[in-house]
Amino acid sequence: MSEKEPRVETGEVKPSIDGYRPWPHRWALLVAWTTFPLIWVGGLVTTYDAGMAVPDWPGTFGYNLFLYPWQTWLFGPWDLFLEHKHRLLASLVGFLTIGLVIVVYRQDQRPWMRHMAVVALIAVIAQGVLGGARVLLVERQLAMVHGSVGPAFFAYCVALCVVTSRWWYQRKAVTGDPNGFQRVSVLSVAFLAYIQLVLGALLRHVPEAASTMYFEVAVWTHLVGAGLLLSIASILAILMFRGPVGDSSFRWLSYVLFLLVCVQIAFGCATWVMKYHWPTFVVQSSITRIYALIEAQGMLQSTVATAHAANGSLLLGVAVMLAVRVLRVHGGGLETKEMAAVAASSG
Amino acid sequence: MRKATEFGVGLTLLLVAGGCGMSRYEFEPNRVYLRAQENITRVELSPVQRQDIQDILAFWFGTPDEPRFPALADVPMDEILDLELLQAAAGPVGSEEDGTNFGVYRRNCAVCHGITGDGIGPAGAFLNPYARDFRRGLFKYTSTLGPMTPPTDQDLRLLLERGMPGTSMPSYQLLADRDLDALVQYVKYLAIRGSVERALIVESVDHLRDADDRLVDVDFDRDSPERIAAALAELTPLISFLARPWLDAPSRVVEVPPRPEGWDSSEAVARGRELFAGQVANCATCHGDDGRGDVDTVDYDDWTKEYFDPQNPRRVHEYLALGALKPREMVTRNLQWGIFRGGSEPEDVYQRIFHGIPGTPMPAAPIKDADAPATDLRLTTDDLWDLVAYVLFLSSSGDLVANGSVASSNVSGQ
Repeated sequence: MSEKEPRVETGEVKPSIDGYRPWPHRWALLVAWTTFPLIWVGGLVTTYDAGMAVPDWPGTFGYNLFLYPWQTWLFGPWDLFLEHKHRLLASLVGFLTIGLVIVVYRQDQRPWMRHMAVVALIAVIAQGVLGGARVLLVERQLAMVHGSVGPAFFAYCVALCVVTSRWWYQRKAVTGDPNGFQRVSVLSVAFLAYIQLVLGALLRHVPEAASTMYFEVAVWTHLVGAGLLLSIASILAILMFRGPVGDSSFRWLSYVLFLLVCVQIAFGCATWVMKYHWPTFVVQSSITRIYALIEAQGMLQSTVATAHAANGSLLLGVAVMLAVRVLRVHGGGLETKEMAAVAASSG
Repeated sequence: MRKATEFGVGLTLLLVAGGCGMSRYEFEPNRVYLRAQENITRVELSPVQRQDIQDILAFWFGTPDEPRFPALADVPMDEILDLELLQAAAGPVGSEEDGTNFGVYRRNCAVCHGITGDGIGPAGAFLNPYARDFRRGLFKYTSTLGPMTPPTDQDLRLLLERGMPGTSMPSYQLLADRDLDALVQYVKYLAIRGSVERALIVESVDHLRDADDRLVDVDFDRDSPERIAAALAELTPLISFLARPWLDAPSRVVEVPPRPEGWDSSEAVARGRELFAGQVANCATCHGDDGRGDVDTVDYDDWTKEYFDPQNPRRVHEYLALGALKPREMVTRNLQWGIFRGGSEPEDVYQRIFHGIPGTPMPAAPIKDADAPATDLRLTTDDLWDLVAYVLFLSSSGDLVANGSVASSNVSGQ
């Protein structure tokens, strides 16, 4: 995503391309930067169980979404404030995605890039419809799906940022990953990070009528996934630390990824303790004196739970950024066609 | 290998079940209690007889989305339960433009206590202690006299507001007044409904000898509500019997006497320490002399004892298969931690000692009548305040007490 020329450890830097147009990248950044707060607000809607604070859709209590009296939602009940803000922000992301499609069609000649922009638009519309269906059908499990698609859209936006960046044009494929280990590990991290997000959404939207088995399996799978994610992220960081990696950004991205996984695990533990109290294996320990009383929907509980969800999306975004960059450098493939397309557009 | 297989099957079930079946909100039958009663009486109810119990309950008490309660001739049910608040607590989560909430129980309680109030919500198995099963109508922290006397609305409300430190039960002090009142009503509703279900189970296993026998001879799908109500009239005394104590609960409240002068003086603490270790109060037998609760005792709460016999532990598997949670031993409270589930104000501790903790091995203190002779060794209210002083001293100076020397000089010597 960097506009600067990348420093290279192995491989070559392509000469700068005069035909490169930065607006698709800038617009993709704008969409991604707007989507992340949307994920926070969506997380707060889940934390406060405010998804049904507005019972109609796409309107708000009979008003057009954008004409709903601002005093009512800004100074009204907290649930209404969150849900309406979520809808407004989502609409903004939708409009920005339309803008992205227009900008990409005007400035980026790569056919697959244009397809990617259209897919983004379809995804954001589908996500909005999912949110609406959750409200109209009063279906908690649709909220779970909605909560899983949101981070996927964010990660997709991050991927768009990478493929529209100057870096993408300038990088040349190198052969620094002969065993494919980098590719496998970054893809595994991105895949696991997403599975973890889905499991987290299962836990956060657990239907009240679900069995204890449902919840237990989800919890244990989530824990095992966290362990795997930590292991692979650690190996990746060590690998990047020790050897030539293909691009300097891989190294710091792998460190950031590892850090985010650690922070995520810490947030996860805190979320559990603040929601369900200390786990059984420490419940007889004096450590339980530290946080003896849970305050339902208190500031700390809500912030930590939402931060856990949002950090999961950030982690996924970084994993996807790293994966797309690694695939670019070690994957080969598209380069010739791309260059031809860029040359054609600039010529 | 078996664990891995179970995990794999569970994961598959999770994914399959993820899309269906869990949006149906129905009260679960009390299968565990039914099996326990069947095992005691050696009578197995037929599917029709079991369904009758559920149909009767649905007729009287409605569903999780539409709760109701029957009108009784001898007990004014609407003085026990407020239908409007009940309906606010029931059903799916939602709210109105003015912030009026609905589905308050599902939003705040059901993930642990379950839709039925059986303490087996989705997260139930992870909690320690387990979430309360309301269906016995038995509550630990009450201000009312007698272990079987239900709590008052105020008791339940207080518990909701301040939560239970040291457990998964949070404080709901941030909830609106109306939401808290709605939760109180809904908990009472679940308790009464659950108690009636248990009574119907007992009634069934006691009186239905043949598979064709039925509690009532009606067709719940086809007969008119009037005909069903008439047929159920002979069973309504069960509800009256179980609901009346809720009506009478406020009159059974035992007021905590005011703290006597110098109730927390070092002399009071020293007296409390003697009582604590003595034969009458007998606290040290479980809590240990220093209140650390590390005395070896094996016991279970009344909810667990209903399906678990420590003498015959293998028998529990048939109940686990019916959804019961794995039995957990009671753990005597470490008083030095200062975590008091029923409240840490001196009056709260007084009440715990006075009433005991119903459903657990913690008994009510033996209290001396005002006109009892001097030879009566039971405790006076002043003795109870001395015990309170000592218990609170333990929690505030636990580390010093554990040290031993401080305990002997500061507490007993003065």
